[in-house]
Amino acid sequence: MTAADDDGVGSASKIATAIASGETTAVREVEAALARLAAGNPALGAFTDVVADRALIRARKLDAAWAVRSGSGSTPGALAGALAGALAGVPFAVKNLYDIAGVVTRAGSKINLSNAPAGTDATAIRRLEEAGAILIGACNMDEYAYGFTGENAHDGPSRNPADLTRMTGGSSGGPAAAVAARIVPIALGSDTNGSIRVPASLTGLYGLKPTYGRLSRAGTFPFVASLDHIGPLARTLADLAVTYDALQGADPRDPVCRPPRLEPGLEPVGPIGCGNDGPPLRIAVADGYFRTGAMPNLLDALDHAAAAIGATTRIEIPEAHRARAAAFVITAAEGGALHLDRLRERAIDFDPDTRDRLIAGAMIPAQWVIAAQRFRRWFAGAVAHVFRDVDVVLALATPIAAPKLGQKTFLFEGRELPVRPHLGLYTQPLSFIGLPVVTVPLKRAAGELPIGVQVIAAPWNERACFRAAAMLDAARVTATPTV
Amino acid sequence: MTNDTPTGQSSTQDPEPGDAYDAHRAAMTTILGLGHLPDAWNASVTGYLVMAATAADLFLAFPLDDTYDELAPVFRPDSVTSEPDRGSSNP
Repeated sequence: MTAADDDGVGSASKIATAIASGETTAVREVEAALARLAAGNPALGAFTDVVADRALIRARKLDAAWAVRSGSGSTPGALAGALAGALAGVPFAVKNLYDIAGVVTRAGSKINLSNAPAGTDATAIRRLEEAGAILIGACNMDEYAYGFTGENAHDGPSRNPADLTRMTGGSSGGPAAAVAARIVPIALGSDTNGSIRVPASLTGLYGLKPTYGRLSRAGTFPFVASLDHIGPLARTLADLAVTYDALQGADPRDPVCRPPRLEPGLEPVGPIGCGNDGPPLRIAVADGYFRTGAMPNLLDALDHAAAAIGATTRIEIPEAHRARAAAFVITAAEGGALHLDRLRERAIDFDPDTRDRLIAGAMIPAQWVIAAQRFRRWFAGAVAHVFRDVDVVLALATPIAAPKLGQKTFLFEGRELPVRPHLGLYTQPLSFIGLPVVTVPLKRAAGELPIGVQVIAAPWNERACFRAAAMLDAARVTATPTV
Repeated sequence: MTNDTPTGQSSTQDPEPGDAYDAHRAAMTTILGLGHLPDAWNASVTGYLVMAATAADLFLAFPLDDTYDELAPVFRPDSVTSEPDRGSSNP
């Protein structure tokens, strides 16, 4: 048997515990994950690459090492660490912009398929495997991470497990589908303007966009260097935290990855997840921009959750609409600059929607970009003042639940806005200045689509995000599965 | 083409394709070496340029002082890892 719940798939924590106690084996867990992938992926479009041989080889090594240890023998050094790791034997997946040794790093594109396979794994993959996790494959995404829909002109869309006719959100749509469909308990995505938080919200998952510079991006295909983050998606808060812990640490291969200290995420979550491990948190709900245009029933869900943890005050994040606009321009310009050679040489091979946005981005006047960067510094200072009065701010992650696949616009304040660039309008001002955010899935009534709340804190204060998220769990206002 | 801003607000000075942004796009495709873009691409690119311009209007209108800003890497004291070699062999 595997470490399965009643619904068929165990959490990462449960799998690691079951392997440690001998109830299951890494091979069994990996085989079960690969079987779920084979059965579910044709409908989901979650995976683009499967590394079954690699996964099974690693699982067998782990099991063999475990057998040696159980027999009081000595375990080889590297495997000893993996065996003792919090993710021992846990299958996981990554967005296909992560380097996997021997696999071409697609980044959602047709163009990158002409590249040579990656020579080594991304730092994040290496760190999860050092903690015992086992990679089974790479997942679908918006081309070059430039979109919020999870649709891909080359690989087809990733589909929302809550309703296969709807979007996962993007750009980390495949990883979200893989976790929400319970193929794997954890996956890694990336977030430039909301690409972890939007799909987490639309598929009902926990997602972490850490402080800019907290987690190493080395070995991932870039999009906007000054805005790119990586982070995990998970079905439970504890799984999110334990994955975050395994990913932490400075990395000279990523020039911005210089966190001031390690900061355990699991500690404030704890085995029962109450978040009450320190002085009371001052929690407020973001007003103004972050409520404008949202569907009323989603605001009701947010306010109900906030009230359940005593967050009744409202605060304003100043000039958020300008921050979002500046992030929009910087993204276009940096993205256009990154891809200029590919636009010159292989424009026809892009997804047309991505291509035309990138061409326009390459043409943006320098004056706009410089002004946007100057505004960015002002905005970071203004938001720092907000965090003198509160520790955590709550805001919806998306203004609507999952749109239908192929849907081009959505209603926002009585007007139709394009979905692809605008689904992340509540996430974009926050990543603009690198704030840490945990997205938490809110409890929904039967038949209602998932929706997530952003739990936002000051730079480097992921701990406050995890504490507040744990309080939401303890108040039973989240869509946390029983594990 | 849409003239929506990222915040859904409507600009009061939205240009239309065929005027300044079309000219800008035409000049930049040459300067950037992008070659001749098909008409459909031209319209789409101009639309995205207008979208970016409308967004830029929002933060360009925000008053910031004409002071130095930190737009380049800064060498902070904690980034200095060792004293330079002052040439101990040179009396």
